[in-house]
Amino acid sequence: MKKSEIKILFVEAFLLMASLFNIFALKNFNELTISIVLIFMFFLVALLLGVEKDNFLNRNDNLLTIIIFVISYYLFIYIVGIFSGFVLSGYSLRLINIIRNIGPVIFYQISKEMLRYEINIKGQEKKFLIILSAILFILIDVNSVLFMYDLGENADLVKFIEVSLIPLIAENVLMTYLSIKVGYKSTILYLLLMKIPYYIIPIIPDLNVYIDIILRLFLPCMILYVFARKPKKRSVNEERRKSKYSIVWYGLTLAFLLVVVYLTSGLFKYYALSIGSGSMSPNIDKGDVVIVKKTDNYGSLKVGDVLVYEKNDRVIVHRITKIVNDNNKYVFSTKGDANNAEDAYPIYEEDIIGKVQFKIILIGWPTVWINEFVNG
Amino acid sequence: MARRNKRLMIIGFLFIAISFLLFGFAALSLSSALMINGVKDVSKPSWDVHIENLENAVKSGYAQEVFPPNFSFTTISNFSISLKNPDDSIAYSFKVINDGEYDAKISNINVSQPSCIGSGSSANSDAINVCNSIVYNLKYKNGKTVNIGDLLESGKTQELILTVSYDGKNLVMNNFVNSDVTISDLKITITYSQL
Repeated sequence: MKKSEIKILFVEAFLLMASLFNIFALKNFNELTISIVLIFMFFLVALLLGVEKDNFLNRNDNLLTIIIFVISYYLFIYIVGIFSGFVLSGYSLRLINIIRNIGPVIFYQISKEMLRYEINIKGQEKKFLIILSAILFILIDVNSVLFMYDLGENADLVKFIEVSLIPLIAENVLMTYLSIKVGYKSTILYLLLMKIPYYIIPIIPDLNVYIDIILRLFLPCMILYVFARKPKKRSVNEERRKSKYSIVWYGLTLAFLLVVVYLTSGLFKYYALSIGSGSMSPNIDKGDVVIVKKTDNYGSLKVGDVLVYEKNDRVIVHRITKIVNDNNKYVFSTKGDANNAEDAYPIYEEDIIGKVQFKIILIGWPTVWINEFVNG
Repeated sequence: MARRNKRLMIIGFLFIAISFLLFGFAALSLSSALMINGVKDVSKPSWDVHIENLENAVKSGYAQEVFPPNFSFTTISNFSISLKNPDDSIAYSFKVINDGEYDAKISNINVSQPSCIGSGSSANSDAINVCNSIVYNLKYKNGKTVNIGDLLESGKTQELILTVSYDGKNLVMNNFVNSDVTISDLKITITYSQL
């Protein structure tokens, strides 16, 4: 290893230790504190190894590409918001409070990306250092979101992994790649465009958490694909053949992913639900997935239909045993096929989600296991 | 240069699309057709508004507490009570503390639709009558009603009282409740946002 790479390794190791110490012991760093540490480390790296300027070719083209992707993302989510609704921003729109809100964010993102750039540019010949750098900056970002979770609670731990950690991994993989290939200005631009609008826009699309996570994974993957794609030298026929093959392959993959997102998001008329108990055995077993059709046509439901409803913050799948029309409002009685008695409570129209259409066996087990882990 | 011009054209098109969208939103909001589902929580380490010191229930009439409430941040939830007669009620006192660096205001008060389970021969109709007559009442300790827009300055504490009662005033004679009704899924969330 070169001397400069050894120095980079020491810097990364120090920051890694500090991040882990804060995550598991101190739990006290906020964006401002982290930024000060990062700025200090940036000056240390500059002192030890000098500063690399961002002089990449096609820099402006790359910035424009980033802008296109981010604007498309916002356009998409605000169009989705027309259907899913919006929420008002909880942040103050007074100028002084906007500055107080976004100041630490700008300071944090700029200091982080400049340090990332210097570390990655100087260590780019060693894959190990690049991978370590990606892990390091994921942990640095984890420190900045730690205040939202109690990682000792199973439910919070799963929420942290799903809502924060997985999108942060995707984002940091993209930032690591971009910092080496196109420079720090692109990474800073991307992060500021993705973070700052939420502090200054008065209404925000009320996206289902699942859809939000999918989009925050999809966007970095798309940008990474566009920047990493290299044209290969092939013959014209080979190009046509590979192009057709690619279209079919990508088309099928995209269609499959769209179907999965459609069914699992819960936003559309049909959605997939994993069964977490054996109360409907043998017709529907624990670990099966049922496809539910949402309904508000309560008069169309019949005795014998398998109803999906929500009671006491739980979603229950049981069979209708009785229907009573009380002042033009339907009240249902239900029973699990494996239970000896009917459910103890009446099901009102407002409790009903929908009716089971069909089941798919066994594929719901991963969801069941996660749910059992979360709930202890 | 051709690639850059293409990118600039794409950005121009996206801005035009966004402008149409913004006009659409403005029109929808003026006609109240824009669907607003509430207020997004503030997510910053320097923001800290939370409930503390939730006290034991104060019951009146035949009211009973089946499960005591949990609380986290500014939500009181998962409690279950039993009411029988009109004007039976349960009250909980608690404090809301603003330990953050920002002044806060109440931007939304959201209450859940509870679940009701009756007992006896008229269980279903009793449950429906009670569920339709549940009233949440949120007041400050001085008796003033809590309203959207109320302020809670940084460093300050307010004492509130949540009362869940059975409003018997609107009941029709033949709809009197004949037995105890257990009410669960009770939940109230007071959403604070930055001032």
